[in-house]
Order: sequence, then structure tokens, then C-alpha cells
Amino acid sequence: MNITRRNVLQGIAAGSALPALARAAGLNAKSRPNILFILVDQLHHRAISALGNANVHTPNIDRLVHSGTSFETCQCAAPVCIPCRGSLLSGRMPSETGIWINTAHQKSQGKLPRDIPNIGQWLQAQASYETIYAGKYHLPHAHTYNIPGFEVIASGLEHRGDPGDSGVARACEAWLYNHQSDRPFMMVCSLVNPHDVCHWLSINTDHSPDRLERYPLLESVADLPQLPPNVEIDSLVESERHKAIRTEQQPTHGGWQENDWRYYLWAYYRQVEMVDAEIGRVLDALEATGLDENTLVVFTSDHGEGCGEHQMVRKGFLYDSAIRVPLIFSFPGKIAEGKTNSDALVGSLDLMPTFCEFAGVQPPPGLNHAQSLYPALTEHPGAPLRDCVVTENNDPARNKPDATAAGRALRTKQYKYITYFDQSVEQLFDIETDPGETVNLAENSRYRAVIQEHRDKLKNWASALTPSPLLPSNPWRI
Amino acid sequence: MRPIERELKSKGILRKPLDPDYLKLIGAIDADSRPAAGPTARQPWTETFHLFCCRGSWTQNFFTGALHLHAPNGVSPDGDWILKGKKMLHDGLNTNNSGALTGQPAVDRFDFEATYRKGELSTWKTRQAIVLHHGDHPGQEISSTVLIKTGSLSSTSLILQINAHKKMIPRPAGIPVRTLADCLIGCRLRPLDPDFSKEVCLLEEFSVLKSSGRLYCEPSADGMLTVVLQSRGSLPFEFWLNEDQRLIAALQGSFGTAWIPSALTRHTHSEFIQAELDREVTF
Repeated sequence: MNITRRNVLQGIAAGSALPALARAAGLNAKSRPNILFILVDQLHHRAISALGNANVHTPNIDRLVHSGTSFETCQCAAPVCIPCRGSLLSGRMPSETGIWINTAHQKSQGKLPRDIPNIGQWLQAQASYETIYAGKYHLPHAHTYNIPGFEVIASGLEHRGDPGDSGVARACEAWLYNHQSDRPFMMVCSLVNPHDVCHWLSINTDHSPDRLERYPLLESVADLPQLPPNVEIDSLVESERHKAIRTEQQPTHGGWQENDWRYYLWAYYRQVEMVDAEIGRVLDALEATGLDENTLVVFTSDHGEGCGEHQMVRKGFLYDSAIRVPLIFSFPGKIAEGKTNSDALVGSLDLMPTFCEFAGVQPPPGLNHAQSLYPALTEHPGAPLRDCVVTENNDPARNKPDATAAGRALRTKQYKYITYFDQSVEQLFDIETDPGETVNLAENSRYRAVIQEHRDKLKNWASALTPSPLLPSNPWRI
Repeated sequence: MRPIERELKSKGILRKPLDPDYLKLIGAIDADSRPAAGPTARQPWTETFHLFCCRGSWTQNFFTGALHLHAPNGVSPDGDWILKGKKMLHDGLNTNNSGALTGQPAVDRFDFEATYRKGELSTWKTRQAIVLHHGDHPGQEISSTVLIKTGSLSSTSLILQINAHKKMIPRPAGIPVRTLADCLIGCRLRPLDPDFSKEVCLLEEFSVLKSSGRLYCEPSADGMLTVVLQSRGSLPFEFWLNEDQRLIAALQGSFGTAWIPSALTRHTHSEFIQAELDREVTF
């Protein structure tokens, strides 16, 4: 059967109109698992107590770590909210969805193209899932209460975790307590925090000698989180692209000193704990109702957070602090418990085909860079899935000489390669020996072959994309 | 406008934590207003707090809901009282949804009724729902989001009953439990000693308990007093009191969120928040 746009649209509209796509997995409505997808915003991949971070206490995310399998190396599709959310829901890269810059009001872009279904549309159509959405959506030209393929039960305040997250979590909690249907469900619980640290930055930017005395702390200043080991900037390593981003951020303007950074980390971790408490409400409801016995719980973040690494805050750049995210699957009895998969290179795109495989349906066509993690989670834990994963970062000035952030980061098992759209900057880091990305090997002649290998990998990866017609022409448009 | 204020405004960001002065500068608090008198013993008392969200900017700030508190009998000399409340937040109205809303605005509705014995929280009942406001049927609840909980405190645990499910949450013995609502009242009820400091647990939405907290006072500029409520797992609350120990604002989030008594702001609620305020609470 040829997959055409018409086929896909018919499949979405008519549900069972694509029998050839349906996997004969022998799953009926009662045997299909429920899916609870918990998405948070701007969570650093190490900001979880069960993963060894002593500065933060996340008992509820820890429950998922202990009851499930965590992926050590998960890269988001894009290190900013809107493009990555389009990719999380569709399994397609921002270059393919056309949602490639981080503004909800982007003029030339649109919501997901009609021939790219989101996970709600797909599971509803292919497997009669009851699809529920609560919380932040954030795709352009869209409102949370109008998400295709989902019944929306709460929207929250998309740019405010506090006070919005509580209402979102309570709506999910109530929905679970009230659930009585035999139909399988997929619920997206999309929470905003710890993204609120972005607002915190704007009201806590100025450095002043008495600054820390102004703020109430349970801890003494000596007990504030320590700075990350890669906080220093090496001017020989930092690319001009990255410098341009860093110097636009609030800490540079505020002339932050060591304790300003440490206080920032303290505030950030409190916001992580605030969202963890809301996650606890939802997990408690899942367990109290017994729904946990047949529910796959998936936890991730849309992107990471600078956390002072390379003197960066927020996101929108290609260092690991911004592009690596936690990814945890929990399904007691079905998925290994308390395991960390350190071998697989995985990404945001992989959620769509993974959800589909657990639900027993084929994924939508066109997922050229997404792979189901089902085998790694159930059949061959630890087995590597692919040899590279890519994050792309775009900015509105992508085709202009002053474009700063537009680039791609390709991760292989040992190395990470970064380049920008005009290829004026290249960076290569040996992640195994230099996880903090502090030594750029790109100029080292000993790594010439490695660089070339990674250039080729990126080129091959890009050749399998189906670029959106909305993208402006540029060297990456193939 | 002072030079520093002009400079900050020209840059478009506040850069400094909110306090009552800044709330006045950005128009959240009416500069000429005075807080109303607080409750007196055995007298009914009502207050509405407006919720203001600051994006760290001179612009794009917004009021997004209200908390209405009602002590129908005031407070007995022994510290026994009943506190009824309804909290309502806009749900779905924000600057981040760039598309048109085909339905009507929604509200995150949270009602509660709590009893206090000798000043301490004892039992409570809550009802939560997301409410859609359709033109012909304002206040239509999304039925799947309606949930009633009852709760009580024993000396060692917090007990929650949700539908047929009972949940026990251990609590540190002897440590009082505080909610945002009773702290807003507490500041009005009791003249506080600047040296006041006590260990507390924070109970959020009458269902999430955060321990290792502390409630304490800090003298502030201009004769004001700041009462700080801290707990693990939360950014601190600051309750700013004027020289008469009347609440000016409660700030949270270091400190971009402010609860402001209605007498201090000229803000008028949206039609559907006002409808929620006018609604009778029933369980």
C-alpha cells in the first residue's frame, strides 16, 4: 500500500480506515495498556534525586526511576519549547513539522500539518484510545482547549507553573479517580515547572552585595548548591555562536558572582520539587485506583536547563545541559525496574513509535528518524538502537548573517559533534572523557577523521528528512 | 518616577524581587489604598484576595484569579473557628495560547471548608473542578474533573478520604500544619512579635504536605513587618504587613506571584471570575 497524504488523513478521520497499517498484535481494547505521559518543562537531566543529585528531593519522580527504566542519553529534538513539543507529539523533527522556531505567534508557520498526525489523533483513530490532555500545549496558532485528537480537561497557565500546575495535576487526579470506561486511555499531563525559573530570572537579575541577605533560605549560604564543574568559560573553546547567546542572558547583564549562581540553582531546585509534588498527586491517583497495573507511565521534559554549566541559564543552545533530558518508562511487570539504559542513544521523536508499539498499532508513516524503544524496554534491555541521535536548534534569523543559534548537535556513543547552519563553527567533544564538554577537539588534527565521520553521519541523517515546505531555503534544505 | 525606576522601566524588566513598593509601581496595588480592618472575635468576616502574576516585567503582567475567604462566626476566644473558601484561577487564558479559543473561558475551581480547634487545623472538606463558561450555561463543570476529598489531622498523620480510597500521610508530631488560607487570616488575626519563629508544615490545597517548614517574622523597611513561610519543596511565601499589622500582600515564587486584598487594588474581575465569587459554595 502506498502511503499518501490522502491515506493518512483518511486514517485519522475514519479510525479503522487503514487496516493495512494496523499491526496484528492480538490486542483488543481491554488488553491494550493505558498510557500516562507526564511532560515537564525545562528539567535538567540530572535534577532528580534518585539519579544522584543531593541538592534536590524528588520523591515522586524517584518512584518512576525505581519502578522503571531510565535512559541515560536522551536528546530532545530541539532545546526550546515549541519545536520540541511539536516533535514529541508527532515523532517528526522540527525541520519536518515546520514548527522550527520558538514563538507561538510565528507568522509563516502553522500548527502540525494535516498530514502529520499527533499521538492523540493516531491512537484514537487506530486503537480507539480515549485521549486526554491537561496542561501546557504551546503549539503555534493553537489554544490548549483546541488540541486535535484530544479531549482537554485543563489548560493551566501555560507560562506559569505556579499557580497553574496544581489545577492541571488535580484535573488529572480527578479524571483518574472518576475513570470507569473499559476503553484504554492515553493521558498527557503537561506541567510547566521548573520553567518558572525563567520568570524568577527576570526579577532576580541584579547583583548586589546584600542580595543574599535579602532572600529567605532554609539553608545557610554555605549550604547552597555548589557550582557545576564546567561553570567556567574557556574563551578558546567557546564558539562565537554560543558566546552570542550567553551574553544575551540575564546573568551576564546582572554581573553574577558565585553566590548568585548558587542561589539561582537553589531556586531552580525548589521549582523542580514543586512540580514533583504535583506529579505525586497524579501517581497517587493512578495507584489508588489500581489503574497502575495496566498503565505505561512515561516521564520526560521538553528540553533541559543551563543550570550554570558554561555559565548558561535557560535553554536554546546545544550543550548537554539544554539538550539532554530525563526519559523514564515505568510499567511494573512489563519493563525492567530500577534499570538505567546507558547504551541506547534515544530522542524525543522515539515516543510516538514507542507509544504505538505498546498500543499494538503501527506508527504513522514518515517517521524516518524515530525508533520504537519497545525492544530496548522489554526484549533486549541495553541493546543500542541506533548509532547517532540529533538535536536541531533554530532561530528566526536562520538565513541571515546574524543568525546565532541555528545549528545541529549529533551524538554518537563516544562523541558529540556540533555545527551551525552556515558551517562556520564546528565543535567535537569526547563525551566519555569530557562529559562537561570543555575541550573542543575539532581543531585537533588527530581528530580529523572523527570530524569527517560525524559530518558524514549528519549529512546522511539530514538526507532522510522530509523538510517542511514552510522552511526557508538554506544549506540544510535537501 | 525615580531615576532607577525610569532605568528599569526603559529596560523592560524589573530585575528586583517584588515587594509592596514595586507592586504599587507596576500598578497592581493602588498607591492610595489602605487595607480593611481584620476580623474580630465572634463576628462574621469576609475577604477576597486577588491573584497577580508578574512576569518580571513592566508589561505582560496579569491578574488571574481570586481567593475568597469567609469565617461565618469569627473566631471564638478558644481559637475555634470555621473557614470557608473558594479559590478560582483562570484556566486557559494566558499569553501563550496564540490561537483562538473556540469554547469559552475556563476556571480552576477549588472550594473548601475547614474547622480549626484551638487555633489549629482539624478537619476539612474540599471540592475541585474545572469549569467551562459557555454563554447559555455559565459554570458548567467538566464532570470528570470533579473530586471531593475529606481530611483530618491526627497527632501523627494526615488522613485523606477520596471516593472509596483512604490515604494516610505521616506528619511530624507536634508540628503545626499551615495552609496559605489560614496564613492569610493568621497575619490579620494575631499581632506578631518580630522575634516570632516556629516550625510548621505547609499543607497545599489541603492535600499535599510539605514538612521541615518555618514561619517567622522579619522587620522590614518603613515600619512594615514580613512574615515568611518556608518549607521544603517550595519557594518561600512572604506576607507583608503594614505598621498596623494589616496584610498588604502575600508574595511567592521569589517573588512573582502576589495575593492582594481587594481593598488594595482597583482590579476588577472578569465576568466569569465574578460569577464564581458570587456563587454559593455547596458540597
